[in-house]
Amino acid sequence: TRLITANAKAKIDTAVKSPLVVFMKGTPDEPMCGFSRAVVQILQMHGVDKITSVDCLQDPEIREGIKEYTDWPTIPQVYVKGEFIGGCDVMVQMHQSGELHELLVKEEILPPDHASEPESESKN
Amino acid sequence: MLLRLFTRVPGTLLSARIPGTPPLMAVRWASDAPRSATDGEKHIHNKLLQGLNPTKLTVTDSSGGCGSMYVVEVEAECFRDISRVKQTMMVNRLLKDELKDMHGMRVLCSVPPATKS
Repeated sequence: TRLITANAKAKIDTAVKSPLVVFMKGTPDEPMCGFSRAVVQILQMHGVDKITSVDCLQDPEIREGIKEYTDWPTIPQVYVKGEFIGGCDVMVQMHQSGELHELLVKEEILPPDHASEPESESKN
Repeated sequence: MLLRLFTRVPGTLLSARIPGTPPLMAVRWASDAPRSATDGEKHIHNKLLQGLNPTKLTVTDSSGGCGSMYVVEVEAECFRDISRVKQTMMVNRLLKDELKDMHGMRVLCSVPPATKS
């Protein structure tokens, strides 16, 4: 059964055009669920200061539609350049493994790593 | 003062698989009294056991027995070389009906250590 309305699909299609978007409960400033909060915190920890998001609590069509759209039963959902990256568990695992940082740099959400070798500490 | 009922998530370790033997059921100690698996945990456990042939599997009702939140940890060979999202989708697909009744589900997938030749 198609649970997603044409209206919701259009809104989601537009939203995922952003370089990064989090479908969440609440907003980055006021998450309304621990898992949504965790995703926001992880992204902020990685230096993503301005997080584009869709508050699924404000729109029941999107709240149900996004689950159908992604074929993923839960919120939050993170999209980067139109591709579904995962929910909270995936984000935590990618954060721990370093994959998230790599992805954010590769997709230019974060600036490239500078030649980040610290200067030699030798005093000579 | 509200007592915290669970300082750790109580859970049941089901089926640490030992090849050639039927799955064991053991109880993992939590800070409160140990308990046996809920019907929901057993049901989900069996579905995933059959659907994924895991080497390790724990299914825990983290909602105090209400069946509204589960934590699933699966280690399975069928996850090898598959993206995390696809691994979770395999679990989601098996639990499509059960998910309808849940508020949420944590899914942690892993791959068994590579077998020695």
